[in-house]
Amino acid sequence: MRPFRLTLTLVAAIALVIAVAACGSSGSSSSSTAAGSSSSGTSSSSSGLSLAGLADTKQSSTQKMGGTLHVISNEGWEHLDPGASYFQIDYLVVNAVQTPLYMFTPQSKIVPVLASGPPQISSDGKTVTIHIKPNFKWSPPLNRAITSKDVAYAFQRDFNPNVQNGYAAGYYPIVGAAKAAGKPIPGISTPNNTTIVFHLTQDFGATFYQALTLPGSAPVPPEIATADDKSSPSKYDQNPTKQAFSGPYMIQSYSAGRNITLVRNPNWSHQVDGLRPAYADKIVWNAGADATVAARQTLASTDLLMADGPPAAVLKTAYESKKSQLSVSPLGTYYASLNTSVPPFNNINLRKAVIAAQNREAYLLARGGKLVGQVATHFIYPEVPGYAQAGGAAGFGQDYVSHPTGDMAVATKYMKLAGYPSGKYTGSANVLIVGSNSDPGPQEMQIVQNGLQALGFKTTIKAVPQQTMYSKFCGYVKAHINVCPTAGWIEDFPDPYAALYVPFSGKTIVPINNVNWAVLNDPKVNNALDSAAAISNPSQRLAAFAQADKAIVDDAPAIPEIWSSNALVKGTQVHGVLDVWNDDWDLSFSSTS
Amino acid sequence: MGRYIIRRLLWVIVLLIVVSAVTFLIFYELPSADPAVIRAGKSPNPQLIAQIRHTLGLDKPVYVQYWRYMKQVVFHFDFGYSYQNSQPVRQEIFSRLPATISLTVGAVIVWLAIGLPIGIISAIKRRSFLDRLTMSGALLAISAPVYWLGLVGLYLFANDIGVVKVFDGAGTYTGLTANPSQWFGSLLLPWLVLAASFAAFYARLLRSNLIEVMSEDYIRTARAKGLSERRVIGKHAVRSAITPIVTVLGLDIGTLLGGAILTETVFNIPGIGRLAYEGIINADLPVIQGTVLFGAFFIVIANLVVDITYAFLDPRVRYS
Repeated sequence: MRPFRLTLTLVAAIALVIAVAACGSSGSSSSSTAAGSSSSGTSSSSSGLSLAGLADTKQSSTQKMGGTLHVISNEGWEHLDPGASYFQIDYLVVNAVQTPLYMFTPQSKIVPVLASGPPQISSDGKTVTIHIKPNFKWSPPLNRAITSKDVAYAFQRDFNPNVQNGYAAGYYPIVGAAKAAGKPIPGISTPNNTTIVFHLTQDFGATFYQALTLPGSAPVPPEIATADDKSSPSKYDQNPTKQAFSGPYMIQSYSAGRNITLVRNPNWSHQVDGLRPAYADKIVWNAGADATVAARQTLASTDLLMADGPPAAVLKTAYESKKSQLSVSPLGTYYASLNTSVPPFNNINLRKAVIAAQNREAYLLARGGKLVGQVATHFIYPEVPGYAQAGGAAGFGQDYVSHPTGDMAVATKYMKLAGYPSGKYTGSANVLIVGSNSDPGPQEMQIVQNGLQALGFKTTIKAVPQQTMYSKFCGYVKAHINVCPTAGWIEDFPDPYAALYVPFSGKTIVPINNVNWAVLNDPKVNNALDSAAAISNPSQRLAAFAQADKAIVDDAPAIPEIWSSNALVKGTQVHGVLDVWNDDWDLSFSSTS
Repeated sequence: MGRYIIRRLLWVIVLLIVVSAVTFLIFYELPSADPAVIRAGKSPNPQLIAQIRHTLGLDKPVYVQYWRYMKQVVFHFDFGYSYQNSQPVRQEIFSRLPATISLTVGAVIVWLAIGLPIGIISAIKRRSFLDRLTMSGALLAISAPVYWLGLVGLYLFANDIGVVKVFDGAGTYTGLTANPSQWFGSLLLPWLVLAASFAAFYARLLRSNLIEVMSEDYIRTARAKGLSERRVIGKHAVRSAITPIVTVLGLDIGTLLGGAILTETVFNIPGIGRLAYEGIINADLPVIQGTVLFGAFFIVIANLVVDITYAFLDPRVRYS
């Protein structure tokens, strides 16, 4: 549940000049495969650009153990405390030094890691029992076995305001957790050292299982963290070298925003872990580099992995002359929310008319040309399981999203249904459009304004910094912003729940920092999402979420703009393995050769 | 002189209070991100935001918040914690200060070593080919943005991505105490890049000042007394012409110690400028406040030093 942040990764996605259009051609037949992650990708876009020859970013039998893996990035880390970590770059480190109960493989398959097997979910979906492996040990100097009490303490921390976890309240509806405030949670019990039982407030076990892949489920030893957790903010985050580690690596040195060095955890073993190969002996990561310089350094190197996306100019060079050092994968979605709670867009037919009148290909051009991704038609995007069930690129076929360049005839039809027989808006509302003042925000606001003015709306544009847009306007319900055209979304884990629930369920609407920007509160959508979230069977679950997606598109709460893609570059010799679900390298799977 | 310095130091305190208050007001009163939301991390629930608002005192009036902040700064030298990564701001600033000092001091030496001789020679050899050549070069250097110059420098001369591999590239900065030779090597290109426009500006400034001074009566008198041209220029003309340079130098040093943002960014030098830049793009109030206060501190101190230096350079200036 992460709204896009104005990061260089995002800028890279925005400015992507590679044949992401090819994703569209393959997208209809594949639900969650990263188009760019295949070395044998032979698909080509209508523009004639090809994904063939891109870097092989899957695990390979030829990868070798040992050596030092070098990483470079423009952005630094935010929080390396597993309880607070909630950022793409942070996940690279945290997933290498900690061990959540479950993890996704690079190809997005959920597997038990600290847990000894899948969870036992009660028939009502409210009780989840998990057994953990008895032979996982903490790194030196702690050296003791990891127990279920360490996991329970991790969850206790997730609800401690001093730790400031960003997702626990949404994904972990544990009985009594909301009021625990850092104290033991009544809904968690540990009958023995290898068993933990979660009692949930609702039928949520199937989704809870997926969310146990987040770093917040990684154990934390109380004897080390308790004292730190009394400070605000918790000091456990301030010097990560003093943390206890459960993953294949330990943090040897750390300088915020500058560099970090990981070395092997002597108490970790691949046999016990069962997932992460941990090829490199050491990982050295320098952050804070200028994005253009870092990208050029990476392309000129043999051994560098760049953890955030290269700028457009370097990306173009990489595509044209160093394709084998380039990876492209689906990233997320952009859409323009239409506020359904206040006039004029509390009228569903007006919303449909606005969507129909929009030239959505213009958004694609604004974000870097026709190759930045593809025009979106619904809200489960190509990276997310359920995309194929939701109709792939074509979507569900509603007439108001079927014409990428807009269709005024369809728009006029819906204007008439909305009560405007002339096909033009004759009401008094002045539509307030608020968006980011960084590129391509101003262009996107102009595009949405053009579409609105073509239907006779009066409009006002307000361009503000991205952070301000989220916290003071689009995320502040009382601000009553009519259109937020520069918002985007990427999922926290590869499940349609994470792509749809928070931005579109009425149950997630909150007065401040709201991310249901359309303020959509349709019982039909809410019920469809809740029902889908309770389903454990994978195929039934995806089908149910596809229906929920259709219900959302039927409500027309937003103009689907584009499904964007993410690009990464690497040195000539290093073997970077991509976590498709995180759109970034996996340090435990990547190797020096 | 002593009373003057004490009076100026008191003004330093007043200025810093004003700067801190203005920064504080700008952040809180103009549209910006909500500090509690940023501090709470991504997608926090309203209860968490409310708790953080209370913990940080954001539910108090602005003047109370400001008073609390200043109390922490003055009595505990505590600038708070970064909203972005929870690191203590004081620690962040002090850990980055050596890199910024290294970059500034080295660049100052380079630009003075290049700019002053060129300015003097151009003034003496006015309208000569050498004068035209150096002033044209100076114009070019002033016109080149440091960010662009840094990138061009790296693409041409860095030993990793450069065409001619001469200098250490970006991201190679090492502390002076850790490895002096690597420290020197990693800063050579940044020094040259940062110094280029300053050297050009100083050369032009000194040239014009010197040309003006050389037409003064006392210079004619000095020559009439039979002093050598070297002595006339060195002892009388330059000493007078350089006074405005000292003023500008003081301000420039103060500004750079507050952070050479672009140079530090291009060359990935972990200095205060880079920290300030990250603070700004992340709306990280404690970091912005801390770096602005440090920048202001350096500028007012540099001004003070300049004023005191005047007294030694110019016999007409005496403070009471």
